[in-house]
Amino acid sequence: MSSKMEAQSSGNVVQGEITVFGFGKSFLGPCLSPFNLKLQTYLRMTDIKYKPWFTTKMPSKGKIPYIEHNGKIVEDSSFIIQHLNSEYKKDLNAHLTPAEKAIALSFQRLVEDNLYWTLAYQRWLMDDSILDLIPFPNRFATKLFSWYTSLKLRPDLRKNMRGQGIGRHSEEEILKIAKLDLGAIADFLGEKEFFMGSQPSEVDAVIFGFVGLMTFTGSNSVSAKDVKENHPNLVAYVERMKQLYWPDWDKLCIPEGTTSWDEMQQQCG
Amino acid sequence: MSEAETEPLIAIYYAAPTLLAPTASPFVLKLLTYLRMTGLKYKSVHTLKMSSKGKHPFIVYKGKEIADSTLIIQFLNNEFNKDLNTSLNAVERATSLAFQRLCEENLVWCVVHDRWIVNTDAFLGQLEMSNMMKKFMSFYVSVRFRRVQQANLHGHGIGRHSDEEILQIGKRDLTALSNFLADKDFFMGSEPTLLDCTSFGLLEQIIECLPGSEYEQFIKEKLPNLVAYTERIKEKFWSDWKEQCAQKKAKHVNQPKSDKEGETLEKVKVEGQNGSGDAYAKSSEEEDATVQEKKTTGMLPVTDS
Repeated sequence: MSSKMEAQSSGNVVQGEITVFGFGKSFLGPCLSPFNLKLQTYLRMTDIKYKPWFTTKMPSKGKIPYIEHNGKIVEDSSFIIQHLNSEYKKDLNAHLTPAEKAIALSFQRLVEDNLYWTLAYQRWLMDDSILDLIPFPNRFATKLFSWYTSLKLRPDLRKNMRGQGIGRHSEEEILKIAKLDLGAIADFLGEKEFFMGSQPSEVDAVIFGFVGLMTFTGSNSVSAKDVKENHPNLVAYVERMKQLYWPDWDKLCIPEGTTSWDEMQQQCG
Repeated sequence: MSEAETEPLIAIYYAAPTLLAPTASPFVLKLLTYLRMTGLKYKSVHTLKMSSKGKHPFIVYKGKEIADSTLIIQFLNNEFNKDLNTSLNAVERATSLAFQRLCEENLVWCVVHDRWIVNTDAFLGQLEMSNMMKKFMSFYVSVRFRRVQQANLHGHGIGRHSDEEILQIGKRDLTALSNFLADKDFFMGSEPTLLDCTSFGLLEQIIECLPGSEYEQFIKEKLPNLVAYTERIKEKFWSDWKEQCAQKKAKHVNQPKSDKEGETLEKVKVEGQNGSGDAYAKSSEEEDATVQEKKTTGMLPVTDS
């Protein structure tokens, strides 16, 4: 379904325009990938115009999202943000002290290099709820995707998780790790408006990207229920971020009843 | 086990020390530092046998194996009513956990990349073994072990970046640690906490056990507070650091396998020291019959837990 080493060009590149390539939308959200949601949230926070584009082709690092900007492909959400900060002279962290920037980075690592795996585990390896998020034209297509998930996506994820280390734990241990990390995020956030204080910073894009995606598109997962029951401040925070930077969230979702891939692709273009 | 002891000792299993450090693993060093901070007695058992999770360290306590340094520490905290984080409030605990994740889920992979992909020869030079063994290890690493680490790095994600990009990521994390530590004695204030076990375990590996690496140069030149910090921790908890390292032998001796392997592998003798020094005296045989210890000293230390 995806081929590496061959990034897709959007075909109608406008000078200066940024195209964000991802796996597209779902019935419940504008992105399927938390890294994509992080990047798009950052773009909205910095008022940098962009165009999302659906793709199944991935460039050299084999990951989503990537951008095309002035004919150049840039991969990895963090490197993309650094690139755009430099190009557009943006810095969402300008108001933070060096120690605060350090703390923000540490939570970014907690989310992207630890919590992410526990959420991916719940999304892909605990049940088939992922199938409810995307449209299929018929039962055969659903079955085909289900086979692809079983034969490729899930084994790949298990292999990556084992390499990373967290995959060596039991399900119970993985869920405990998720609980611990989400508790830490909620405790640090407290009653603040944004993660680092009264002003937004880059780490807000990260937290919203992962916790927001889980809350709004994976609400039946163990972690989503944990957040809903135990961390109302975190629920309020993602709602706040959504209202502030994604007032068009519902409009961007794939409409209910959509069944064809082509229609979905058009929706994402 | 010493006859005088009535309490069962915690047996820590990990690969033999190197010439530069009591262990090449940041996670083993984290656990050993935790034990010294809490005053819990333990014995070291050098082995290439892996835990059920395929990593080091693991412990055997009252006949039960527990793997993963974080799970081991949680277990020991409960069993012995210890908590290095009692003085921290909720926000501080959260911050401490976040930095632990930065160290263990990201920065450590930069070290793995440097040690096993970029500067392997520098690491092999730290092992106490004959020239012939070193040649074998060099071959084994290039044919097999490096591939395993590349797969791990790829699975994590960081392995997909270029060497230069990985270096940039590592330096960013190190700068964050330095900025957060600032001029404090320990990471969370004036007293050591659990985060210090993690950060010392990793920083010490970078500062002393990645000789000639860009990370070593970067830390020593740009982040002197981290160097001073590791020296502070060593002074407080590792006054026997040099004795705990592998000692350079004039002649390498291959020893036969037997049930008494543990005693013959003994590398770390600390005699007549007070406090935690005594606990590390002997690596005596475990009752666990499945433990098989290689005779060759300074064998390849394993991937981190």
